[in-house]
Amino acid sequence: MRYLRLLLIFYKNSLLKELEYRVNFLSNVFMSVFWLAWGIVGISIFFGHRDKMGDWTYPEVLMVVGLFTFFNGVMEAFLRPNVGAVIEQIRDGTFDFVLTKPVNAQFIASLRNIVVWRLVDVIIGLAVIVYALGQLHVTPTCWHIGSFVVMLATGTAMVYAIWLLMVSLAFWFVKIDNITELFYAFYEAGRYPVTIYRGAVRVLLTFVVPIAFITTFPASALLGRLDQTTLWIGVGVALGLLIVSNRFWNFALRHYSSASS
Amino acid sequence: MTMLHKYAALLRRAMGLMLEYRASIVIWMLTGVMPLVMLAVWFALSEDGPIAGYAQNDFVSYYLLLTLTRQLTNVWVIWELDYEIRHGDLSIKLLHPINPIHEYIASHLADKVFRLWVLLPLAVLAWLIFPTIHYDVTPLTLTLFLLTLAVAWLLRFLSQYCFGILAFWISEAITLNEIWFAGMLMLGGVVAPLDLFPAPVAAIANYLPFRFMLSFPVEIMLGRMTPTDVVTGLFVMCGWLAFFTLLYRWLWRKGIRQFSAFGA
Repeated sequence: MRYLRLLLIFYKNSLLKELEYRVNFLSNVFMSVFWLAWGIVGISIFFGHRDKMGDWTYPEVLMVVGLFTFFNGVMEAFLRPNVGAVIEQIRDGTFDFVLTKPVNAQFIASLRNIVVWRLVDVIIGLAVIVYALGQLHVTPTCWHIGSFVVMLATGTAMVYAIWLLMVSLAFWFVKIDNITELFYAFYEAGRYPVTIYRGAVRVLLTFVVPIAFITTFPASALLGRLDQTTLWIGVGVALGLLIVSNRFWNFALRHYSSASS
Repeated sequence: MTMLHKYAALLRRAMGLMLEYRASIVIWMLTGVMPLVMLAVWFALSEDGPIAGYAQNDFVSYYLLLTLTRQLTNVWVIWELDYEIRHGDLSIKLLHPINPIHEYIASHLADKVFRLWVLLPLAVLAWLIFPTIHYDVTPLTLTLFLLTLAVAWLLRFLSQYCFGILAFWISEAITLNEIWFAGMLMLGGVVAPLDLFPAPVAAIANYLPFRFMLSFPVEIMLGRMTPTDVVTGLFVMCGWLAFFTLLYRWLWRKGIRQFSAFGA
């Protein structure tokens, strides 16, 4: 309960701070629409030459693009300003302020800030998914929507856990301040359904860096193509990653030697 | 001190810094693998036969060399320039007896030396994995490749520098550069080789600067262009180089005046 109250205060503060920079809203909307258009033009080139992309039709791939935009918004609004900022805090010593608060450090480090404007991506992503459903003339059943929501939650949990794992490394190696960019390099592969990748690449994107669970499988869920086994594997992988990342974070914390005196 | 001596000193200093941050550079290198994602996509799509004359092997040849080109033409100067203009750190550099652009060029060159050293074994590895990749290797194409590669880097550097100078006046310089960068990913042959674009789009893209910032050297090595196309391309490339050089000089002169106006 106390944590929920704290969360409300955190977000209220962030919102007030962000309202100072209202022009950011416009430039964020512009850039979101721009990158979305870029992604759509990209897949249009493929569909100019082929009717299907790894068994997915154009509107179906559009759903994956929508999910890509959605999770990009999640990362930029929730992860980059929090977990992503930890490395900088470790380097200049301000991470001490996180540790000295009488609240769980992972809680503060993960949820202290929110960049409200970047939620534009989340909304635009959802809009693209709805539009694609309209193009397909598909009305998803309750069960499909339910599994879609579960997959969105597991995707969010996985992205968060991966960021936390990467950032924890910074407690030892301060000079890898750009490690979160590394995730984006893999994330780029999530613009397209994972079924187009072959062999080792697909295994890598499904189980090592689980991009498939983030952008492809939620779309499959909504299209009614996701079998229950995959759904439960997704939930399992997400829970496993959350536990592992929490353990690793706590282990890393013990190695923190402040940069300030 | 001659310019050469100055550069030797700048390079030595830059190399020292690079080696200190080598882990960070390797991570930056990994973030430049997007052409390989596109390769995976086109590789799968061309399974049932060639697309616009590109068979699977052609896509592999194209994208492997494009990845190398992208790594060796990589530019990040706007992040430093924008920061130093907004925080006023640039004034220290302005006191040095050398135009700041040379310091930035030196640090980029040091980065390229480091990258080449990492990339060469990887290139050999790639060739062992895909022994069928094929390039049009003659003394002429090799010379043209190296030449256009160097100009491609210059174009990326100068154009990004011009966007960076805009930070003297506006706070969205980096956002504008992001749009420019997206243009390069699209029309510079990353999303698809330009041959695969609808003909009217490709016809325009052939004259835009983006192609000369990335895919032109690769196109030369693939040997699909007619000699006339190559010569035309070289002329257009020189035109863009002259354009961005003049633009840089003009913007820099204006910007410095603006800077001292509010910095003094």
